Amino acid sequence: MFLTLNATSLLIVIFLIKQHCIIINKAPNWVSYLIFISFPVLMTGSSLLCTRFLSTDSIEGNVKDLEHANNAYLPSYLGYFFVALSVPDVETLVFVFLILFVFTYFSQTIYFNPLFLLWKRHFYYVTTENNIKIFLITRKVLRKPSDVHFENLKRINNYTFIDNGGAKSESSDG
Amino acid sequence: MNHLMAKIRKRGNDNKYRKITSDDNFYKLPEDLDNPIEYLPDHNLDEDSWFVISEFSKKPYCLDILKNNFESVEYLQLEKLEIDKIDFIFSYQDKNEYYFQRVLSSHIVSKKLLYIGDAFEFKENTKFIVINDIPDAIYLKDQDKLYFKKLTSITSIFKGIEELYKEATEEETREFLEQSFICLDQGFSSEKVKKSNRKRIALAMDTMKNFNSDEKKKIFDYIKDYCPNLERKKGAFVVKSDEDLKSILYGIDQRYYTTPVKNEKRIANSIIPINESFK
Repeated sequence: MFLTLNATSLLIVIFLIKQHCIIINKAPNWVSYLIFISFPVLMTGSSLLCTRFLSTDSIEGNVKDLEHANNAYLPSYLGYFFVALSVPDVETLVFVFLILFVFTYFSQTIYFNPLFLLWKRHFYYVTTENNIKIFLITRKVLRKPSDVHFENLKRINNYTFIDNGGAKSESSDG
Repeated sequence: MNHLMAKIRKRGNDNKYRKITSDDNFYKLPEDLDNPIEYLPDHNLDEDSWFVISEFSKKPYCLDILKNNFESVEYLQLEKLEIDKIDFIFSYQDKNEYYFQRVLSSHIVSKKLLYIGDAFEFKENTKFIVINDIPDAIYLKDQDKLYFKKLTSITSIFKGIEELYKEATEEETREFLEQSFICLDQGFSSEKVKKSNRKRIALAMDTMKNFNSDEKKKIFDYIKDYCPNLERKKGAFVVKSDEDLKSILYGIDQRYYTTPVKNEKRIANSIIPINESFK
């Protein structure tokens, strides 16, 4: 639920910017915009902290295929932006947002959120030996299937898993 | 990492395995797994020993999940509504050990519970699964061996494993009782043969097949020697009860023996071929 909110909240931010909403009168407009943007970013960050309470899983290396998915969000997110830019008023925004929210929530696969990228998370599709495809969010940079080895994954839902471990050795080439 | 999985009863071809939880060690590897006995249906197991089936992954009743590498992320999370549908649970531990426990309705307890810990906690209508100290079966992947104590408790987990538990059918029992060396009396018939004797009949029929007529005669003389109370009519043994039948079946299995010192006559309640057990 919280993750869905994070994933869709950017829609509201874009809308607010488009409407030139200002919360601090004395400061230039961009200060307000920055504050708007910082909300979803911070919320996403805190949701990363919350994942530690989720149930644990592991991948022990029986992986057949690995696919990079950092760019997979782009089409759907561009869609969000265009929607936000073309929404004329607050009332429409509320409805459009609710519809998007409900669909995102039930689709369960689009929980990934471009803001995770700002928190140095990468997205991957992992196919296991038994041909089960899962979505993996991790800080590590993975290049080949044998790299996929996680002891402490958290289950966001049955298809999406997140790894909160650090990326000490690999972080430089990310 | 360790995972506790459940197999649920469900129609159709969907994946019936669910993940319950991870991280905890639910079972410990028993210390008495050395010296297991290759499964013999007629063997009475000592309390601290286990039966074993070697090369288990090649057996038709082996589960697919044991043949493939295990990844917990492939399985859905167990939903609360599915708790009553659990067929059996198994714990995957240390990348090699699988501990199976069948889940009967008596294992799922729904009760008011007072938790006694640092703080007392009262919970109404809690449902929990009782985890046994000793699992019903253990599969060690590196050895490819399945260990268990009672075949009847794992027949619901490994479908088809009951073929090991040979029991003569009604027809086979009738056929056995109609043989010339048996003479039925006092209304004893195949319907009155109890389960344990049906098991013995299945084995005895296999044994008899390998005997030639000389050996058969030797066996009948041997039974006569050890069971003087068994009545005979025209050279056939009179079977009036299940007990009489058991004496003959024990004889066919050559379970009567005499101790070398003091010459005491005895029956072996359970047997293992010696070279087998010292393999």
